[in-house]
Amino acid sequence: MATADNTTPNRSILTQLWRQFSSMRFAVIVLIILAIVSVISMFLGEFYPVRAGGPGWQEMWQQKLGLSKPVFDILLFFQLHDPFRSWWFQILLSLLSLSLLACILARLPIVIRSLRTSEIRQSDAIMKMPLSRSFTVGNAPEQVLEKIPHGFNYAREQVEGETRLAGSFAAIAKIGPILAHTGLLCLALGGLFASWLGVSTRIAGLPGDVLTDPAFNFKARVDSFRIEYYPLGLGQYVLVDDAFIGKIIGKEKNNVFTLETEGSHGGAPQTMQVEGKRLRNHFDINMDRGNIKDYVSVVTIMENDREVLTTHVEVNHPLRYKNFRFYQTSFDPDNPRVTTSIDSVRLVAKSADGTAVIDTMTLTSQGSLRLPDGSEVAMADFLPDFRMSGGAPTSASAELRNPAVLFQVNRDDKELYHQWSFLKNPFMHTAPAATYSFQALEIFGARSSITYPTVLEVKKSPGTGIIWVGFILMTIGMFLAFYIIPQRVWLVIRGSGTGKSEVFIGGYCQKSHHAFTEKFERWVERMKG
Amino acid sequence: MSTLDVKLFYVAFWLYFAGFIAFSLYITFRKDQIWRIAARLMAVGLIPQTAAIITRWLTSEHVPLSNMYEYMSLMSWMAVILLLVLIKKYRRPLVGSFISPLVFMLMVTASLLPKDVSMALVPALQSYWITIHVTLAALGSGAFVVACAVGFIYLMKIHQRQPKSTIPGKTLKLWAICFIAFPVVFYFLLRLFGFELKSDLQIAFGGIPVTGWGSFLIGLGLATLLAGIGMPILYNLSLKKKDSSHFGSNFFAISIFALLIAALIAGLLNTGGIFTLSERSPLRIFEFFGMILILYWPMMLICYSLLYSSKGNFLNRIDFNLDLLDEINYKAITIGYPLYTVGALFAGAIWAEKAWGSFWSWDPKEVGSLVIWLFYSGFLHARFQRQWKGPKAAILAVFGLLMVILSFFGNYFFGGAHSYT
Repeated sequence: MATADNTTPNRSILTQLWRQFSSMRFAVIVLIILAIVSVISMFLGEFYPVRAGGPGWQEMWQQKLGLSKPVFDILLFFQLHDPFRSWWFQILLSLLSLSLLACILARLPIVIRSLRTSEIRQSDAIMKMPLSRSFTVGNAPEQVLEKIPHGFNYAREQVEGETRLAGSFAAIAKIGPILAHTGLLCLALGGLFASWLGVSTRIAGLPGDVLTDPAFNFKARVDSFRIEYYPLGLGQYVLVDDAFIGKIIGKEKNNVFTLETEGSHGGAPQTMQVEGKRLRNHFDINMDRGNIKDYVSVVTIMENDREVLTTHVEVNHPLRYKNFRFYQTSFDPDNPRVTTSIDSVRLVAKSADGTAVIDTMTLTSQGSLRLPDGSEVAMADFLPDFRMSGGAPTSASAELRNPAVLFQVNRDDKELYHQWSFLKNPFMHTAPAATYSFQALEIFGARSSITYPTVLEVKKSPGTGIIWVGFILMTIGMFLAFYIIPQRVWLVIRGSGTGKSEVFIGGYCQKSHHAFTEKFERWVERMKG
Repeated sequence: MSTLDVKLFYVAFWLYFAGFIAFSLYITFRKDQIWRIAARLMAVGLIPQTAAIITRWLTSEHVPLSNMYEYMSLMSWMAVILLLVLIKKYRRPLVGSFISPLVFMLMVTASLLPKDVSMALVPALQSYWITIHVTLAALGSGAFVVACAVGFIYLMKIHQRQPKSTIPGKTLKLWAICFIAFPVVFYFLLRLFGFELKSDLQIAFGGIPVTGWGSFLIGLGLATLLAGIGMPILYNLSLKKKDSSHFGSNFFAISIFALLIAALIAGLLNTGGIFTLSERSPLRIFEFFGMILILYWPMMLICYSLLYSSKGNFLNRIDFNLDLLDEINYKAITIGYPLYTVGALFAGAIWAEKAWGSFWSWDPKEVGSLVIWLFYSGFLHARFQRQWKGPKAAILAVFGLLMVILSFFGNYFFGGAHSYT
């Protein structure tokens, strides 16, 4: 007894709690809260000064948002920098899952019972239904039975000279809501598993780089990476004669394209027709984005420095290895590797102060030329688009936008001094120890290529299988629930002994009430006729 | 230079326009011939529109669902099909009189959006899941358009049926004062307390950009929000329950409908370069919503004046069975909901998983479609379990489409994975 006394209140609280979880009210409240916090979180995202998680983001946030330390700590506690992955959002998702589970368990027996029972009704029960009729027809019951509504699965009972029928149509659709809710539960659980146990990291590298990450215990070597471009086509921005930009708005015969170009000085746009060979469709990294067809990386997976697998990774075609998937997401336009070469350069050698011309000469990329004082000048480097980056010269692109040649003067294979010369800018910065200065006049046989680092997203999401089950169940469930409408009909046909029959008919359809009523009236008319 | 598919689109555009006019005439003249002509015009309009979609498909060599024009065109296509099916099934030509203006509005919106055929799809878009994702989402939204139109007729009808529930003269005057006074007072209060919402919003008058209007417009927009949305809620709460039911629902219907039109116009003004939003976020969100609310204000007045001025002859001519309207509303949502769920959410998630490795990344448009889905889920549950029918269901249907429209233009003020659409 003592045990019973102790457990009864607990059980009743638990029962009540469970009843609350299985109620529609609770589910709808959770849905509303989820919707509201999702919208608020979405707007919050627009206020973030920088993406959370990067180096020094906390200091930057505090400074830009003007928050004091305690306020910022509250923000961190509630994970407002990443609300959709925060603990409170996961609690909400867990509550939704619990509500779904309770709801499914509470309704499953009812649905199963309704599928099993035929519920044959007597005439007075039928007449109490909102949609029912009774009438007498001049036919025997057997003839009336031939005219009963078609397409129903009937249960039949013969009692006291009357035939009782209970028909159901598409009863299976009743399991639709249960399937849909089970599917949604799978989606919620899959999402929770993915956020608890999932791994996501981003790796980037140039061909030849071997990449690794603390998230996985193997290495990935980038063998090659290429960006594939579309052929010339409508809507693309193109560079015409390497001089100006136009947009392709039409494609004519014989490889001729109609272009729209910006009018000069902000005037009206102009259209022109240009041959395809004068056009280039990949020339600028920002304009290129619309012209890129695909990114393709060749990646080799290495375990303990042993090659295990070599394969292509493309957008929409990830590489799967162990439980990890490598997605080709994009490339890194900010850290390209530019390789350039020229065959030769024509230059003029001057005195150190640049006033007296000594000689004009042509220097090959591999060779050197002797100067009057016995030293030798050679070409040490060439950059097509010179810029200083972090104190070191580099090329911003592979285009000949600011070509520069590095001349180096040696004596007995020992460097005396060097000097950069810019083809588009005659300014010369001569080294202090220089005896000569050099001005590059023209370059020959320039070749350059640019390689961008590939960017791969590496993921491990353990909930994927459950999510797929969720998609399938929910899709089937929804289509059953909404597109197939269960209908029920009850009949009692009573022979009155004079070749006439008394008919009682009732119908029920939870949805499409209006359409069902019209159909019901047609059945009645047919049976009367 | 317009291509063949755009020419075909305009043929459909004018046929739908003619259909819309004929359906409007049917309200007045009630001749069976008129609605038959109207329905035929709409049906014939489907042919060039379908041809336009196919032509575009052949030209671009991918399913023509890569920009907002194409999406909106498909949405109206779906709405026309549903319009014809509903007329045939329920034999109520008046349904056409209310759906056809919305269809035409969608066509006008589509016609004003950029129509460039893009041959080149960014790599992530090259998946057959895009076809499923966008097609089903557009078809689902098309069904929501129909639900909205039917919901709107319902609310107009219930208003007309309840003469006692019309706004008394004094209340109407109070409304007018609130509408005019609140925004102005609110704006100057903001200024008084030193809140100046700096904005880079540019408005072009005759092509000449005028800057510096942003602050004023945003302030006015926020104030309108307070006056236009907050006040009706307070007013409705203050009324006794039995009084508030019909007036409240009718008022909200018009408010939401006006907001819906304002959102469409704001989106179009932005597309047409009449106003340019700031680059800075979140300012651009405020600006966009500010514009919507500013536009909402005159829209609300226009809707109300139209309703009241034509109350005697217009609403009396709509002889509709309210239960039937309610059922069509529910039917349209039950057709649209599974399509939208599978298209906008599932196919989108599966595609994202194939392209980027995660089903869901809480991108603004993803959140938008999730909220729309949660909303319609709530609607269906409320209807099924709590018997939320009639005015409540109708308001929800109108409000649902407003959310669809806002989400549609969401990429103007949010970034994220959908910024290319």
